[in-house]
Amino acid sequence: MPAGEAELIRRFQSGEREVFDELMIRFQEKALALAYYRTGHREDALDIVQEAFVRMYAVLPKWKPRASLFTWLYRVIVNLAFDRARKQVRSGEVSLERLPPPADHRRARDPRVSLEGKETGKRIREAVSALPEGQRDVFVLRHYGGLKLKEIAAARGCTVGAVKANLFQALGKLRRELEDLK
Amino acid sequence: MNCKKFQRELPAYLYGEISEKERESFGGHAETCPACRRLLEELEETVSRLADAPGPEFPPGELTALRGRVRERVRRAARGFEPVRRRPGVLSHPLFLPGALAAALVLLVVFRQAAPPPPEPTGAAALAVFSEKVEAEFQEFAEIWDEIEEIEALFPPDPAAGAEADNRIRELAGQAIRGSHPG
Ligand SMILES: [Zn+2]
Repeated sequence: MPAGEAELIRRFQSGEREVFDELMIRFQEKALALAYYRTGHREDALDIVQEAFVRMYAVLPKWKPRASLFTWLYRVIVNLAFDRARKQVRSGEVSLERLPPPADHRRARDPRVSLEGKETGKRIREAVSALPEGQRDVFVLRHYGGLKLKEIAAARGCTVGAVKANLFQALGKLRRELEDLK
Repeated sequence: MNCKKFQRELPAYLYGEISEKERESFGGHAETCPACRRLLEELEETVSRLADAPGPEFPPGELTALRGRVRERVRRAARGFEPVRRRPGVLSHPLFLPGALAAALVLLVVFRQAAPPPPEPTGAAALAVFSEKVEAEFQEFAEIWDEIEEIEALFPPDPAAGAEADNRIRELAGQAIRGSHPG
């Protein structure tokens, strides 16, 4: 568990409810980055993280500091994103197109479709979105979330070796996708 | 250090999660192995290019508003009720308020002597009820704890992650650099 987190949780549990804000600040960016790349939409990411934080508040009184709280939050966010996507598709609210691209999605690289006009940030977001889910989560958590490889392994329930492999593959793909930005 | 180990540790190196000692032997291998050096340079460039571009942007104002909404929902939950969706047809009726007051007055007169209803849980009690509810939803999470602990126990002696992981890394490395490395 990251230094400081256990202390904040202890203070929360002994009645200092104000420290909840500090916990949210700690997690907000990584949680939003994860939810964003899981749903493909900013508004959905905000809704999901809001819901996840409310649940976090509810579990905190009984939380036993056995692992980083983010390990739990990761699973909550992934579940909420999954539920939301399923409901939206079922209700016809959105078509499948609105969902993040499937794992084998490859953007057409037609030179006539000019990419020059596109802003670099947008290109990068698209390239990250196009990564297979596991690689995308690992990359987002490490690169935008600043989680240690070991923390990512705990969150995903896999080995550090698998996290490194996912990250290696993600970087290789991103390198190829963004080659023309040079 | 050999090529296999070099590639396996490359992501950790790129994100600054490698010990000083490992870093030395890492650099040593890169000096003597052109293929690994090239891979390192390419991925270093990719990481720095990615670092220059922001991720999904959520301005500070939006983050503050998000935390405010969470606090508000928690407050409502702690008071023991969920917001009632307004039904304008009834509530905005011109006679609603006087009617409700009259009804309340009648009830007050009729039940004046009756025992007060049991109090709704508030504050800590309401929060406890809410916590129970949420905890029940995530009961399944408790079941994966043992699994996580087992995985965590594997961390310190990570090199023993096994030949399977090594093979996988080699395979991935092959895909990632597509022929730019002899293997
Ligand atoms: Zn080599």
